[in-house]
Amino acid sequence: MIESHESSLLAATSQQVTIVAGKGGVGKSTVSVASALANARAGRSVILLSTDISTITANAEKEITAREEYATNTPVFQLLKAEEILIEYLETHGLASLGKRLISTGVISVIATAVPGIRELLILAKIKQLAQSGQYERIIFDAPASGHLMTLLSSPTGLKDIAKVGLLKSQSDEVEELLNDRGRSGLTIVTLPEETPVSESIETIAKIRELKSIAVNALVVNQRITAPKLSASGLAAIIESGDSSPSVKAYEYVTAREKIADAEISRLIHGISDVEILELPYLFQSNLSISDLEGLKIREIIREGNLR
Amino acid sequence: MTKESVLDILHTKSVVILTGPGGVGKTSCAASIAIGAALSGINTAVVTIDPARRLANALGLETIGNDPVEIPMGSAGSLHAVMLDADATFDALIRKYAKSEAQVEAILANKVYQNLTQYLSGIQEYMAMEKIFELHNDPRFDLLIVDTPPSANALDFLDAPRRLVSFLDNKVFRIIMSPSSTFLKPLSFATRAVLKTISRVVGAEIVDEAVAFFKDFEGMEDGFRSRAVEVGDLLQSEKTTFFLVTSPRTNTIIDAKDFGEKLLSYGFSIARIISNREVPLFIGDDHNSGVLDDLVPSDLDILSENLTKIELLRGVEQKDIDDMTRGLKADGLIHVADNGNGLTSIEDLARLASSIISSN
Repeated sequence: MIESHESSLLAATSQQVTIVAGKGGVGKSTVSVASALANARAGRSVILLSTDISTITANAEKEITAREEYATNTPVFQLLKAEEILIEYLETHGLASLGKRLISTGVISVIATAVPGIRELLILAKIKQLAQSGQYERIIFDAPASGHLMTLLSSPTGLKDIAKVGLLKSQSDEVEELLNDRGRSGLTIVTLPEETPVSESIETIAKIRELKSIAVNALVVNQRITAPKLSASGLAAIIESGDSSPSVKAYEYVTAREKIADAEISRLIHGISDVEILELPYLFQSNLSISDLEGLKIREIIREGNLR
Repeated sequence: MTKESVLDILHTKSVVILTGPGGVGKTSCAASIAIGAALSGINTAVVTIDPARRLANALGLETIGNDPVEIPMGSAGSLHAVMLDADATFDALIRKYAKSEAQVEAILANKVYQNLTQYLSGIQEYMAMEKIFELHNDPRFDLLIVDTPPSANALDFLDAPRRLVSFLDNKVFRIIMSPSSTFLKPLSFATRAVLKTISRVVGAEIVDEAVAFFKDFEGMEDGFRSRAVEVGDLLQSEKTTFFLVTSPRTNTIIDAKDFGEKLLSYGFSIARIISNREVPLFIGDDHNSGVLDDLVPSDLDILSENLTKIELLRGVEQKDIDDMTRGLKADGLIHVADNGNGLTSIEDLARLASSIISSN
């Protein structure tokens, strides 16, 4: 058993800007949406940004309109598209017609493809602009899957090597400043208590530290499965019997999964230092509604526990 | 008409591409199918494009490189594994299509090119297609099992050759490169204006680097273009087929359905859907059990509540996956139960292989 105590989802979003990252399918959107809702319920103005619409985000956005507790403080959902951000920038700088030409000639896509990280930088620049505007107390960015995370985080530094002047240069500087400011921005990594996601999280955190950019605030282990606890004598009887009735088999299945989860979490604890490790429970459900997300209890995993 | 079995598919096709959302176990499935094919006497190579280097772990190897590595299985067919190195593959392509050694050097030294291989999203896909093509023509292999990179969009993979060509074909940059075009004069003002804008936005050096990159590439587009056509033809041919991998959880199924619909919109058909890591079915009757009679009521409640939860979840999963299979008109559905223990060894993969291969 790994010890844990209940904490708040707000712990995963303690700064003004939180980037939520992790490999595909681990539950980034779940954590992002649940954190956004928790912040809204705590009375904070919050915007949730993403680069594509996940089902969970789309459902939440629909569902909250019918909910009274968000009537006065509604979390804002916004999709970020690099091209649109660039056009918006050009328009505010009196270059609207040239922006259109960039698109019609296809030059914009060549530049965006040829120049590494330009899309990512534009997205970060938009986040920075939102942060500077002070319009929101919490900005949560549901980032693309981890393969692209390094491109995202290294884009300001990488582009500075290429761009010595112009928009890219000034935006890179400001974005870098925001990412480096530990009081204002942080990264929350989401993972599953399974072998590959855990290995990847450990690798990702090492790489991010090498970049010396954004601070890694929290690691959220999603879908931590817990087997229900039988009495000691009952457990012993089951183990001894080798019984194959469905309820016993189902219990053994859940226990086997719990054992793997425990082992993977202890690998995380040993593989990562100075990062708060949180866990979300495995819900025996295939689809999560907004009330499931509101009811999610995050727990802090205690490192100095009695690990077996 | 009798439906082809999985084994028939492996015997008759040359390329099986596994696609689907991230985190569903594509890599393990690809490795398993490859093992199964090799055990069935087919000379097989499994190609993983995943930068996370998972296949090596799954196969118990320290390293797999850009060149096929044989995995000793003692099987009737040979088994090789390849892990795509996008940099090396791209460099090799440049060497292949360049007109001179000077051109190779110029491109390899170009900052945009260097960044391209390192950062460009979609580069993994471009190079994967190239690698598939190369391996397809390698007489050592009868069958390629391809694990696609995690991407939000199936189009990233299918579109890769087309995108590379349209990238190299850009009108504005073609005009800049064009040494003596009669079109140059009337268009040059517009072109200059566009470039000026880009310079204002991204800095002149980037524009210079990009122009240099396209100049260096001059003469190579044709090679890339005809290669893209060949690769596209291979994908569209009878030799290639797609397996869509998903987990049966609602959110994943929605994403997988999206992948499937894109495949269909490209005119591909889905040979199989693999529903991976399903909640298992626990068959039998609790009433005939011996041990349950000895348990205290509270323990019995815990056990039955746990079973109910699992059965409910399984019910939802099965309904969702059946609906999806019907919706995508897939030729078949392969159920893979979660064993609760994960896949940790080549034996686990071989077990998974036999359950996939033996399914209809």
